[in-house]
Amino acid sequence: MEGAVSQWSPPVIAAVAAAVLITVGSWYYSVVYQPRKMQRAYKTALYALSAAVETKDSGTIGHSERVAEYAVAVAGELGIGPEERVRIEYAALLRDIGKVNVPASLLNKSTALAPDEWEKVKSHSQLGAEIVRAVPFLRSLEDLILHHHECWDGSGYPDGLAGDEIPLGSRILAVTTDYDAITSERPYHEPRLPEVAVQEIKSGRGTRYDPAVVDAFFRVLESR
Amino acid sequence: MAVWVCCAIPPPVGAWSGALLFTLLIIASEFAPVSTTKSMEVTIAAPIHWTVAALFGPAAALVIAVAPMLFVNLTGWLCARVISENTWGLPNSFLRGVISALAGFWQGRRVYRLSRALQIIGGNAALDAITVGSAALAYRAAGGSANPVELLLSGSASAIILRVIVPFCVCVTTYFFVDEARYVTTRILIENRPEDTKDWYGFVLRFRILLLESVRLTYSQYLVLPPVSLLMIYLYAHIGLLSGFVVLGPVLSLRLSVQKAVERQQVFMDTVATLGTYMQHYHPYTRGHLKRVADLSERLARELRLPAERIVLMPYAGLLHDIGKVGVSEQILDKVGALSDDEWAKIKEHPSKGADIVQHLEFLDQTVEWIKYHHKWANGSGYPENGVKNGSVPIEAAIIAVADAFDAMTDDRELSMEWVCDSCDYRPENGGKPQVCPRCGATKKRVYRAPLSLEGAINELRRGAGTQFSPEVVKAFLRLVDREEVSVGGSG
Repeated sequence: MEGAVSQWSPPVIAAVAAAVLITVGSWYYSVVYQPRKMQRAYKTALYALSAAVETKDSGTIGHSERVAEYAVAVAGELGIGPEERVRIEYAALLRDIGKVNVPASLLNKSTALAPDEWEKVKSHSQLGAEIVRAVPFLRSLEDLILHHHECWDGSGYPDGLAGDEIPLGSRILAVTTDYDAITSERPYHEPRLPEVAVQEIKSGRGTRYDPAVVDAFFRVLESR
Repeated sequence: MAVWVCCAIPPPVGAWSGALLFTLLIIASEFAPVSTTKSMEVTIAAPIHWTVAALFGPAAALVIAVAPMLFVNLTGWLCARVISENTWGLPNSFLRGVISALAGFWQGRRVYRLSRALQIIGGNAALDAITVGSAALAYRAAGGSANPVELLLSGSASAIILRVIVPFCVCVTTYFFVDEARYVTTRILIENRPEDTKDWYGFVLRFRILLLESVRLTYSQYLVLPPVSLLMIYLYAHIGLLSGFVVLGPVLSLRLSVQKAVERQQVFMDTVATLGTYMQHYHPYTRGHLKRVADLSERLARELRLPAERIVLMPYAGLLHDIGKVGVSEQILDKVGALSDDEWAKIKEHPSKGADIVQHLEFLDQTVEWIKYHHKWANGSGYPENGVKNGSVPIEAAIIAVADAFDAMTDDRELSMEWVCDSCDYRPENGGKPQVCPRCGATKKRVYRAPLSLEGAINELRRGAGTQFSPEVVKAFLRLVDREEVSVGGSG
């Protein structure tokens, strides 16, 4: 070993700096970059799988993607943390996955459904929840998907939950799904103007929808 | 013999304090195990092993490999034992806290009897010693300098490259191969599957598959860690013992991030495949069928000696091959009797639809063509109707076709329906199942029948070889049958 002077020569200091740089770099990769990349991969994959079901539903493709976009924006407006926002986003993409078991003829029917047909359509919440429960990584989406058709006043399905009993994410999905459904083309109605949809959501504020979520949703719409 | 000669070479003066430092580093790193799942254990020992092998030679390297292992495991086992039996009636005190913290060394393994624990620890230590020892010998054999510190401080650049860096690379490569071989062999022996240990071919194939799987997990570590280890050697030459602490950061964080990335990929692939599978499960016919197709496809791919990286993807492709059917109306899928041309067109879309979906699944997108052409016949008919890219059906698609057809033919859950002509709705009165409709002469498009026996299905596959099925795949299938590895309605 040489003297103290040569010990800390520029190349040695550079080597130490390199060590620090590698540490910071790999930490960044693991904690920030790679999770983002995986999130994009999940979004693409979940969207591709749900779009496959959507082609049966004659509503145009892109429905679940739009709902996911709105839902995340509303969640942000309500101050929900990033992790929960991801959960809501995935649930928005997969919420109608249970429709794989609903005959296309019912989904595309333009006339009123008979009671047993309606029951069949309603079963998609439960089946969707069952499907994600079977997948370990997605199990936490179960309650959001199960309750995405519950109403604030307890008139929804499958469990007739009311108010705060409904998971917040599901309350957000209820508003954003309906808004998107009204403004896009369906077998049972023509697409309507956003103003009409806003009016309809407003009339459901406090009955069908959580007032706080509706307010946040309108703030999101205004900001666009 | 050579080992003993080399080990007898005394390490340079000052080596033992360095060796002690690195031993302590390994102990420290084992104390905070960063392992996140049980199957993939993370240890930062490897770069320290290389550093020591290069700096101090085989003798010190062996000490470094064995001493911390013994210390860590024995302490861990002892503490785990004390905690589990609570023989001393320890109160909830500081001492108890210390002991249970030390029990972390045992990493949640079962608390065996002393003799069994010693056997495990000794075995692991011996294997570690072989890995590290061979790496250190490789360094020397490749002409590595016995005193790299001096060379680094005062040697010429070419001397440093030839007598430190090149031998170091040889050392790491040796370590890599010995370590992988050891891991894979251990795994094969633990799994103890009859098809792996029956003959050499089975063993070698399984070895290659596992090696590939494992290399996929570890190769990036072998790309990023050696430079760090070289950095460690360089810094050790210049700033001595302090270097160990400087390099601990990069080693730990690199290893952790690589491991994390691989784990996330695996979770992703499993999640997507499982979700896709469950989406198809609402249909009673697909339940079990997909799993069996995945299984049989994988075994056919093995039998056909496909490259291991494609064998690994085979089960995923088997699970997802009919995913395109979720977009096809079930009135058509489940329809009994004649299908209109429109309805047939819809059904024929499912492989392309499935390929469209799979294209969006990262890491699984290599299977797009396999899924797209699993209904394409060997003679060019079948669907999708426009031709196959590159002229011939990919062998993987042909494999899925055979597995799918075999399971569909023998599945007792397939609805055994009566024969109805697609064109004129004629039903034979005697329950017969003619090839050609006796009334209108149409060839049957859709065949409904009772499940076939194994022999019946084999005959069908034989008959279709060259027209519907790839002869090569059918031959492989028959070999599996000959070895009695195929059974009806289950995995052989």
